[in-house]
Amino acid sequence: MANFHGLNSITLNPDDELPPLASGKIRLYNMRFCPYAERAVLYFAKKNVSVEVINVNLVDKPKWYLERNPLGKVPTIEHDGKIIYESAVVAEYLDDIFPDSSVLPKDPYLRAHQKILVERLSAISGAFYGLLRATADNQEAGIANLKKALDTAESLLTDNFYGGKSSGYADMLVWPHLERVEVLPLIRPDLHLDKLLGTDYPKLTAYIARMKELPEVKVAIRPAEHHVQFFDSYKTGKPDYNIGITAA
Amino acid sequence: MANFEGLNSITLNPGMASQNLFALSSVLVGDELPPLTSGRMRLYNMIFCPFAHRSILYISKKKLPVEVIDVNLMEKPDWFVQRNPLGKVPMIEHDGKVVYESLIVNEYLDELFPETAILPTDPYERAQQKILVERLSSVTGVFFAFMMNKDGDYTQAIESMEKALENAECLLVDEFYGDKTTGYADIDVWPIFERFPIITLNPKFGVKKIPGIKYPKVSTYIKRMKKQPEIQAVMKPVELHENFFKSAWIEKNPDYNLGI
Repeated sequence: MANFHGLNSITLNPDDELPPLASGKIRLYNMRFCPYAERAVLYFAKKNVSVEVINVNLVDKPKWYLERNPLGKVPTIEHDGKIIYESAVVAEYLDDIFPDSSVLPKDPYLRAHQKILVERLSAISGAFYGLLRATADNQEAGIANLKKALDTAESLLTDNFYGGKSSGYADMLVWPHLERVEVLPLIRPDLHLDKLLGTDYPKLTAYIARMKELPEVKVAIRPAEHHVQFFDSYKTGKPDYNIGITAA
Repeated sequence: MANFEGLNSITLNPGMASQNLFALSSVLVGDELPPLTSGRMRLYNMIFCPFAHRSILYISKKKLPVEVIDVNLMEKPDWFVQRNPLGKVPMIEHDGKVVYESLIVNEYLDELFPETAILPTDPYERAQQKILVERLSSVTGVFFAFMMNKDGDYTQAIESMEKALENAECLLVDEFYGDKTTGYADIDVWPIFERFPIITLNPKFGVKKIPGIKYPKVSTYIKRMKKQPEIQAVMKPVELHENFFKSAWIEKNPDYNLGI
């Protein structure tokens, strides 16, 4: 997508110098496999706002990054000396400064409803990480947890998207974790989750297919193999942030 | 405060007989939910809930006319769960619309009543208030670490308390987290600061003073907050908070009618 510069640039380490940020330009500090940062990528894509992306090493955090976000998390955006972080705050801030491409509805009640949806769908992320790290002892509980979260997601889907007829705030914020739930059977084949999404979740299955057709999702989504490789590399303690980057 | 109706009304239980009850203003309570007039706003509350307290404070500061219905959260009435499937307070209802989650409720109130907006209108300042809420969230964690502790070893709770207070001290760069006046972040965090003294009341916790001399800015801040009219209007004595938490967490039989 033409508005992104550096979306798949090499991840910067502490020794790497941070390029200067030109006045008036917006920068996104990202990590190529972080689901929370992916929310920001989706939002920028959907709004078609110009952005320069810096991919950051989160295991070995550069000093210049901690100076900007003392919590050392992504996503963070920077422009004209202003720093904003926390994915939901970043999304809403972008809508505030670029109201013409607002993803959140203007109506206060519909706006609140989108945020409530995100809250009600939030169990998906915890359930995903629970199963990602599941041991023999807790895998049954983990699977039950995920099923509960997916049951809720299925019942809350009452239109084409959580945002209604077109993708909205709740879709942008929930997609990254659904993307990873889909890949879970490949990351943890030992859990035998192959039938997880299949016939039990007809609305979610159709939703996921529909989401994958959206231009903003096509920009942000990572191939299943890359997710698998990333999680494998994460287990070694030295995650490979540059999986999928082809030599220039 | 004159804008509230029913702020200390008896908690509505599912099977309670109708009766007139003395309250801040007269609101009929009973097992039936009183009908909500068109155009009026209602807050579903639990008298001692720190999260509902955030919305009470917001309504208090904005001086919005609101009818308060207190709910028994141990035995949730059907009409409550029908409106909020998560069964939590606070919840706002008006003209058939229901909004819940304390921070979502608060922002919603600012959007409906922008003349009394507490959140700044500037997008960057607004974002900073929300980031502050996130960065102060460890304060809430501390409180529950003490209240919900199961093994009687409070070393970790005390450690997390020191860290959270250090963090809160560092983040306080003006009179309030909202700068010169109480703001969104102050209202978010106050309910927990109001309940903090409970931690010193139980000798088993091993905490004699909170926040203590290591945190002069937060100590002064708490004194300053207690003087704010919106805080004072709805503040409860620590003993009442303590008795409630004892009834809820230790006796497992929350007494919603303490202090009425």
